[in-house]
Amino acid sequence: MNALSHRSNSAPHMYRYDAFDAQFVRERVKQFRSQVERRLDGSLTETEFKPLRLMNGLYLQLHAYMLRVAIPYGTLSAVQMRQLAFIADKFDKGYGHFTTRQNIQYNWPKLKDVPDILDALADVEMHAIQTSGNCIRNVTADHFAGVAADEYEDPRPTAELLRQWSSAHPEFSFLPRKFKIAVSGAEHDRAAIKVHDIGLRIVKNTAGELGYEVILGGGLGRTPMIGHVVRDFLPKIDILPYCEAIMRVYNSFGRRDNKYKARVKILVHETGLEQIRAMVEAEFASLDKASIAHDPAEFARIAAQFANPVYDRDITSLKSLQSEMDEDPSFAQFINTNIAQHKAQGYSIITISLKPIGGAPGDASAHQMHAMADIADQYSNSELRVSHEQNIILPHVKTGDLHTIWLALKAADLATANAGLITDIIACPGMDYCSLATARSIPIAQAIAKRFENAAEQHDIGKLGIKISGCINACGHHHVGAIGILGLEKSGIESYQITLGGDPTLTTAIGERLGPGFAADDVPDAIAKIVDVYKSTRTEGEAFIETFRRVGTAPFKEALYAAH
Amino acid sequence: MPLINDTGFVADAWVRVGVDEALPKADSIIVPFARLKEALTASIKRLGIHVPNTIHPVELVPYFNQLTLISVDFPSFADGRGFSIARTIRNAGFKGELRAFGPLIADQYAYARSCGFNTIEVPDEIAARQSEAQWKDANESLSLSYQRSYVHGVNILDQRRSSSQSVLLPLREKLARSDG
Repeated sequence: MNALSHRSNSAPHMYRYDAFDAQFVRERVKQFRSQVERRLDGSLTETEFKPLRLMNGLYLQLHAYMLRVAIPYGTLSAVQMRQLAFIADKFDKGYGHFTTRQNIQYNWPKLKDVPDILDALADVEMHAIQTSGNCIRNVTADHFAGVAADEYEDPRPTAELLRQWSSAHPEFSFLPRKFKIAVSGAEHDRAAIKVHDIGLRIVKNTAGELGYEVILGGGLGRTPMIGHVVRDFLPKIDILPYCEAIMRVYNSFGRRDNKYKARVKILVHETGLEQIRAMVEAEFASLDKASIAHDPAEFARIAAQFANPVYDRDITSLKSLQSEMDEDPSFAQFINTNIAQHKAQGYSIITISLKPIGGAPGDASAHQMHAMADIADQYSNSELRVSHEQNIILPHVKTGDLHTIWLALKAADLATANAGLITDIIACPGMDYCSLATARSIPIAQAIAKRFENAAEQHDIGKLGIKISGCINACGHHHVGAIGILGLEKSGIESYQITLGGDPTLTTAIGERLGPGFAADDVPDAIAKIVDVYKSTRTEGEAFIETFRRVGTAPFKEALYAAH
Repeated sequence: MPLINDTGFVADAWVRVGVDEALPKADSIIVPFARLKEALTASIKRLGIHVPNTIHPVELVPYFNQLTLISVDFPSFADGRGFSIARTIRNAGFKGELRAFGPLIADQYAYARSCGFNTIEVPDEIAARQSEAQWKDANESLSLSYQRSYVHGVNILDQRRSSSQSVLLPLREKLARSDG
């Protein structure tokens, strides 16, 4: 066995700031420092300061400020991960929370420390720009970008171009509401592009050219909607002018009378898709595109930095992996759930689950961040990813190193073998942290995970996504969970509504509500009843979502409510 | 109300009239959009109009040659519609003065300039809190921008297009100094 054939440390293959990017972020930090000072000396009122701090990722939460740091398109180097650990140790309570939008949140920073934290981020080419506020938010992408076997083109150069274009945009920083863009470049959608304000899908036209399918008006929140294709093929060179046209239509006509009807999905819904398309196309046609579009050489400059590392052809045979799995059943379980197919032969993609049984979904300690950075340095070209499922990805590992890596992960309590299973639960911070929440999320996730902690049972149930939101704003994406749980408050008591059949992929579906809500203590039992119906109804090899689509809500309703 | 341009707080040569007031004897008058037709026949030396932020800028295009100034209403600093109106008016070829009118804050000055505004007219209360120095500092706080074809600052994408070490080196030195 040759499992110790360590890769030497090499530079991560991702976008690196040039002098312009670096200066821009430094100036932005300085600008924020001045904004904080002017708030403290009374030059800015709290009302005026609020959108300025939000556009720098700073929320005022239940107990303290919360700082949300951008991890553009979820791509992160080992050096950056160590800096996130340093910030967690120095300015927070020793941990951070990875979010459903591929960001990380710190829940306990002090306002006076925030400019210093932003400087520490700038030291490693990171920032908190536009992770909140009524502006174009951090652009997200497929967390398997660049390494997925089913990919047409890496979505990250497009996402990086859009990150730059949307940064401190003079026209689109005071929009009716927040605006989220996601990019996918693969056959399977792992970026939930149909539930974003704009979803971009890299596609090939009949002439064999790559371009974008542009999806507009999706979103979750209190009115979940699936986005519509507004343009089926947009040449790549037109991406910035076309986005400018969409944003101008939205900025001009999006509702501002009611914040709950202010997202672009409502504008699309109330205006009608045909009319919105006509408005966007008319605006697009009126633009001097050449003066707005990016230089193709600039796109190439960005794309070159995401090029894959040179893969080693001297690969360990799969036979040794099989024997390692045979020797150690818990390693075999990890391989069965947490490994995805890499496009290069002899390589694998590892999902590190941040969902240990009884843990808070998405949380990682500074110690764990250091461990992940070290493992990435040694075995994954110094690269990591954050997934919107709140897990961490090691994108370039040799299949022959899997057992060694698994042992290292185990030593840091990071080897939970549950990616995609019933205990890999997505949950918002809920009432434990968030000032908007009406119910707790994390304790519900913990109770469900406890209920299903038996590994064999989890594997028997198979692929099943549970998503939990602690209020109607749906940060836990419950609408698109195969099982969705929404915590509400009814006359002082938490009540949890359950929906079934949600799907965030290209076969997008919004879950259907089963009936009246459940008390917090009764949720694990209710989930168990749903799972029992599935197990007794499924055909050979049928996943939960497939069974649900075949049989509908009736048998599940019957199990939950008939006895009442 | 106080007027701000790139040089700081400046005197305002324009007189605003309301919906019901008689047109004064002045060279430079800003009338509400509703009185545009009337004002066009009143032989005013320099005519400006004030428009709400719900206007479709295309309605103004036929009058561009007769207008010296267009003032765009900002009912709140958080309502960004006026930025798109300015951009559209400039795209359509208006060469006169574009003025943002309302409770904008210093941190929005650079954005307003980028979208095509020349001046900002703010309530006294804001000018009292936010000094001329703060407006100037805020205007200069971001010296680089990523959006092509907006009028303000150094455009990063265009700089890269023509970039060479001679452009990048001074920036790197500047950065190294600010780090120290």
